[in-house]
Amino acid sequence: MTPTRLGLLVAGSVAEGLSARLDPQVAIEDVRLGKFVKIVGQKYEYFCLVTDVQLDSANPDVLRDPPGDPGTVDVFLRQVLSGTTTYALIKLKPELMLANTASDTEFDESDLTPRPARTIPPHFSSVSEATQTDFERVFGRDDGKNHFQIGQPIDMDVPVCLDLRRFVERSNGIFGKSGTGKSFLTRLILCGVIKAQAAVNLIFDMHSEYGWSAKNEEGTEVKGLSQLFGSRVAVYTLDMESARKRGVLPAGEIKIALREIGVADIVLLQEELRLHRTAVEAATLCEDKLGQDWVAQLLDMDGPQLVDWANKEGGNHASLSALRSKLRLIDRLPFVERSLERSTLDQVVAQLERGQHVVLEFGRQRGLLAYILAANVITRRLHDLWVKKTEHYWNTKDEADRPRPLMITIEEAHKFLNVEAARQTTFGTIARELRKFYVTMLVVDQRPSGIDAEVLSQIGTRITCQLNDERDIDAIFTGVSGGPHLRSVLATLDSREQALVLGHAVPMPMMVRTRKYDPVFYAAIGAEGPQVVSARARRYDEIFGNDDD
Amino acid sequence: MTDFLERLVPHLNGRVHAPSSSPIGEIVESSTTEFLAQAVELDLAPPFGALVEVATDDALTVYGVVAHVQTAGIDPGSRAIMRGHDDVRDERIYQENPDLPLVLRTTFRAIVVGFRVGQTLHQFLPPRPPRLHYSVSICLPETVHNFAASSLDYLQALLNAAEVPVDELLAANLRYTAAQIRDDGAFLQLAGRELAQLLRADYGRLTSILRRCLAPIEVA
Repeated sequence: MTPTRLGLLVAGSVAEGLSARLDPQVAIEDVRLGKFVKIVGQKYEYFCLVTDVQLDSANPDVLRDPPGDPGTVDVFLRQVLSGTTTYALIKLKPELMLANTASDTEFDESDLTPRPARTIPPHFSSVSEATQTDFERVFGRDDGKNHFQIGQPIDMDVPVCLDLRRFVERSNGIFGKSGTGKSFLTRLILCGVIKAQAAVNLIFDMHSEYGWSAKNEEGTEVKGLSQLFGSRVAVYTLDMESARKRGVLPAGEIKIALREIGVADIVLLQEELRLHRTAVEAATLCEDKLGQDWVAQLLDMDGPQLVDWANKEGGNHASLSALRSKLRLIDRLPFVERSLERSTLDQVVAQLERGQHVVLEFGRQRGLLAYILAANVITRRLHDLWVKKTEHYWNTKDEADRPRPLMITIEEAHKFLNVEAARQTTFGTIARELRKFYVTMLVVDQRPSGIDAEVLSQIGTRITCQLNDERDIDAIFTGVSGGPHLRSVLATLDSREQALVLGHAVPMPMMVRTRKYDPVFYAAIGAEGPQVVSARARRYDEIFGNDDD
Repeated sequence: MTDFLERLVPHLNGRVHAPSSSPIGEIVESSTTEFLAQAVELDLAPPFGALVEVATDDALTVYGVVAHVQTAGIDPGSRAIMRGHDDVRDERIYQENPDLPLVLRTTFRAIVVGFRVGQTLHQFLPPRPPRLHYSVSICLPETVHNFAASSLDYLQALLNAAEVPVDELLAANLRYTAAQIRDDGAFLQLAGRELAQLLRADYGRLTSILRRCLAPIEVA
């Protein structure tokens, strides 16, 4: 396949990007922002993104006295002028360079893999459309293991892949305003991660759309993860009744005991419960003095008891009393119990440890109070556990002890990772500590500007659907080089099924049409129908016995 | 052949040009950049802007573009005088004065635009000028096609020609060549682009030439 030539390089710099003059036979309207092009230099090949398209003329007189209406003889004049005296310039941002194997130069091993472009090709280098081979050289090929196709470039039918191993190494973000296909994109990526077994997933499914079937924007049913991957994905719920009504068969119901709630959870709920600043100090005092059962004990105290206790322990009675009344809101949540014989969280944790993926549905409990509380309680536990596992692994240095990478998907992430919360909560810690402890996050949010800048700067891969708010766009490009060039590309995204992918898991930023989440996709990821999977599971149990027994 | 004749030769004074294989003129003045030829027959010069060739010797053929045509008395010192009277006008004057072709002559000047050595075409000046008294003939359409297809560098030579109406010459040559090649205007577009490059600093001149190129396409 010979690449289609677009033009030749006429000016540019590493800092400001390159300018190429479009060949007369190339229609200017065929070159769009975000297009992936290749420049062949003498020693290296450069891969670039089109960041702007401009009209220019060799002679300003043409613009002062332009040819007449196309209906007249001036149509000939137009034809002659276009591409000679008047022409188009495309602005390019060089992203990667790679050894030009056709040249005589000898290269180091490192030159054979794509590296950030640190120089530019010489004058009049040829600029051409990237071919499928170029895409594969840069983005890899969807092999079902390390590379997963996330979509296609806007104007070509060539796969663009994420490097899943790099993807799970860091926390990632999926951003976009409401209705741009964030949750479909999330589902797509989760499928890729599960299929490739790149990480164990815990998904806080606020709107009950990942585990079992959900409706897309057109109103047709699409399959959930549990339907696609059978027993490899377990669905838990906080609301059994809602699950039954929707015909979902959850693996279990999650209940949270009051003793599982700590001060860290209260800190995160400050905004939701409208807690006073002193409430956290009051809660800390309670936990110190009353131990693990502090919430229940505080709730059980009546007025005089609270006064006595406050006097005895030197706490402020008013703030303790305020805290107590706010805690009643938590106590009233249906999934919060005074005490539990057996912690249901243990089951979830055990399943994740075994490498099974867990979707936690919230059913009707989609209030932020329930969501934040449950997500934080569970995440805190997992974080502690994974830190212990990692420390153990460091001690033994035995590969068998290496913890499985755990990826936690949270929606409405700005609630957990805003400037206030990010400093104090487990989510902030996970986002900052990164892969050291093998726990990362997949942050799904429509207001990236609400997320702490320090956390944002640590996000490895950003997948961004359409965003309009200037502050959100600024937030996306926090800590990204070449931000101004990419802004113009981001601004041209369609409101549906298009995204800009940039960061750790892709060698260069790329604008994609996201892959369709449809029967073709189900077949491609090789997920069988639930019947087949459960039949196999039964057969497995017959042969090897059931673990749970 | 008749088809070819019709296509090639514009009518001039009701008479028709000879086919290209036979000479249309003889060189009477020759230099590196241009040559002057006398038409074999009175008033039968090749059209303004036409491509002509002179086979100087076996190896070298020189090409020129007709840039000026003139008919005058043979003796440079004497001018033609009026011969018409009463109702003897125009063609009848020639019939009444059969000596006219002997005292008048038609000459044409051609700008040298290239040459051929063996099978190789070059669009720059030849190593030696065409020889005096050698025959000039109009190029066949194939030759015109080959010449124009090899390169358009010769337009620069026309642009630099001295003492001729350069813009008219360019337009006439492009019109003539396009009519010979008959390729639905592809040549004109290509040549137009070449001119646009050459005249990038003079947009007004470019458009005036291009507009003049266009008119006869519809006729052709």
